Amino acid sequence: MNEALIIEGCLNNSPVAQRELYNRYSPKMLSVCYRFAASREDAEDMLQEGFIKVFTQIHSFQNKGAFEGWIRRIIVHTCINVLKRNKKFNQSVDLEQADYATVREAIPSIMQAKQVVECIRILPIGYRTVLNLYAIEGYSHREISEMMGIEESTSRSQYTRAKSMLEQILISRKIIDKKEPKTNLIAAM
Amino acid sequence: MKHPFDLDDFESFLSDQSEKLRMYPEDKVWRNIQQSLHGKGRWPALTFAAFLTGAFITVLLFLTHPAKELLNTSPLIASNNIPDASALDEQQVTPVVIINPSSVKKDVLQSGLFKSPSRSSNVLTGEIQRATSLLVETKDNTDQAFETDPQLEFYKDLNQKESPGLAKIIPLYPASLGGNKFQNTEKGATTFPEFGNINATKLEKSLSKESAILSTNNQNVGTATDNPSNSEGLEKPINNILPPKAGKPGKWELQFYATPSVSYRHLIDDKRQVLDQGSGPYALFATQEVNAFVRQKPKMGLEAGAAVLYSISDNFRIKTGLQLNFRRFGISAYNTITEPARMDLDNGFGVRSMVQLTNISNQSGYREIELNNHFLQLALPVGFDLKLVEAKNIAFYIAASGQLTYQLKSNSYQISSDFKNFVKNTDLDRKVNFNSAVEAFVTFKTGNVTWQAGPQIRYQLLPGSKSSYLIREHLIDYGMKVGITKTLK
Repeated sequence: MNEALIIEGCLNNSPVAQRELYNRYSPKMLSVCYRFAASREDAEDMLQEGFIKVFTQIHSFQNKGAFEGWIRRIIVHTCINVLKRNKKFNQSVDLEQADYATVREAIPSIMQAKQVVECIRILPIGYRTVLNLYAIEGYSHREISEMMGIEESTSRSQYTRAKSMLEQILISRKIIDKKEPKTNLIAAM
Repeated sequence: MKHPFDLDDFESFLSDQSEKLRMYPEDKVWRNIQQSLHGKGRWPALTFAAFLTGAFITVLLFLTHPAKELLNTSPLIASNNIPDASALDEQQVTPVVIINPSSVKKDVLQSGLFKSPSRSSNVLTGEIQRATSLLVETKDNTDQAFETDPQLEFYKDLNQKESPGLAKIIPLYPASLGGNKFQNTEKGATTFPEFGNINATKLEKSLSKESAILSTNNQNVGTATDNPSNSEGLEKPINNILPPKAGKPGKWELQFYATPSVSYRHLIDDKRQVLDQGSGPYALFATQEVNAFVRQKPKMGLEAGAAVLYSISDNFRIKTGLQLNFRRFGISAYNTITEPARMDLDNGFGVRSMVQLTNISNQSGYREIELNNHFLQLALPVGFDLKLVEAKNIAFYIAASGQLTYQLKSNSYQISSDFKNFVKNTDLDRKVNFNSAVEAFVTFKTGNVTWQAGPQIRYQLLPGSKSSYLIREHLIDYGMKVGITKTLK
């Protein structure tokens, strides 16, 4: 079943088409949710809420961009809304404390991608969200500030701190070498 | 996803790694989504069965018993609409002879057989036809009641004057005045306003002794009446109104039945056990529950046959017979290009894979299709019926049976070991199987014929494919059995 048929089926509220769409995109979208969430259960709750929005708002998809990108935006916005609802952004730790607290945590490592994502999830919630939105999802700091309800400058500073903290974690776990990453602060700003 | 900003190596590294990760949500997530979008799924089979059983019983009751009779209270259950005893005078009260109601057929009473030959005695002439029911009381209870209740003074005098020694004679109120003046208060106890509280069980016992009491008091009756022939007249009708002894029903019965049913297939994946034994790595999807990968649609099938029943006791009978089972269900799948499907077999010497070609995919394809699975089986059921409750000609049974089945014809699709494909009619199909069935039903007896209806659940105990195949399928049927049973002489 191609994408056009799936969209048409979902517009007609067909359970088969909905299942097909879910089967196709849920693995990738769950990994997106997982980067934002505190646990796998939270990530699945986010995924569930996000897909319900996808199915109920599919008529608003205009075929102007990639369908996957449209779904992804809905899922990311859902994750941010869930975090806002739970007031998780208020949690914060300073850099040294975070480093000390996280390096000693055991990470279930199966492969590098999984390890990297687990390291991202170690970051404090505010840092993690900004890093996810900017470096991985491709939102600008202006968009991030609007989405999270924070100042644009706060988004920039949190990203810089998040990036620095994540580098230390990855180096300490020997996922990357010390000299290998070349930071480009200008691009980040 | 192409990133809109210029990222350094570290950021690109993060983005790439994050995009590589795939995670598979638990099936409950999809169920919750589906429930949110389409509402909670119902189990139509059970609702249908319950509705049909209820409707069947109701229709039978109303067809065979006039509504008036169904709504009437029994002799031991009094109406709440009871007139005040003080409002009744002598004229309104119909004295009756106390006999055992259980031994008197209503139609016999109405036929006039029990009319006393003379109305000379107020005591014995009771107009049975007008009385709402017959009541029995023991001598002691009656005496006690007569002592304590001033309302019964008239009858006490009457008994002593007209029939000393026949203290069992008590008044009953005509139907026009609300029937008998006794009420059910709680389980096992009946309140008789005239006599105080009388235990219902004790009352029942006294009822059974009634005929004998009447016989022993025959002499007294004779002396109490103006016409001596009344004693004879009383005794004979009582003997006459005893119901004729029915012949013992035959122990053998012949039954014909049909069970419209919907079929499901329940899959059990033995790969998990193999996986636990460390026989090799499996793909992530294969570690999830197999039923989550199959979209089944139950369809209507039929089981029909004949059985011979033998009653071992009044409540227990065994049965056997011959029947045909037609079971079917659908599976949503896709047509795809021909591709190999892996079938894992365990013959006791480790798991070996067999590859079959198929053009049916469980995941995606160029066209959505529905696979029609159907099975025609010849079955030899052996089982028993246990009667739990019986009231008049209605009874409630539970039953269980085992069925040896032979597959006459089938069109089945077996899911591949990796859940990606379906394969039609593999060599793995099992011909001989064994089913179990449990059922509950209500019977309604009309003469020599008994009708029955009730829900039935049937489960195929052995998998549909050979034991060596690691995915086992078991058929489950939910049906509504209706049948007719004739007692053989």
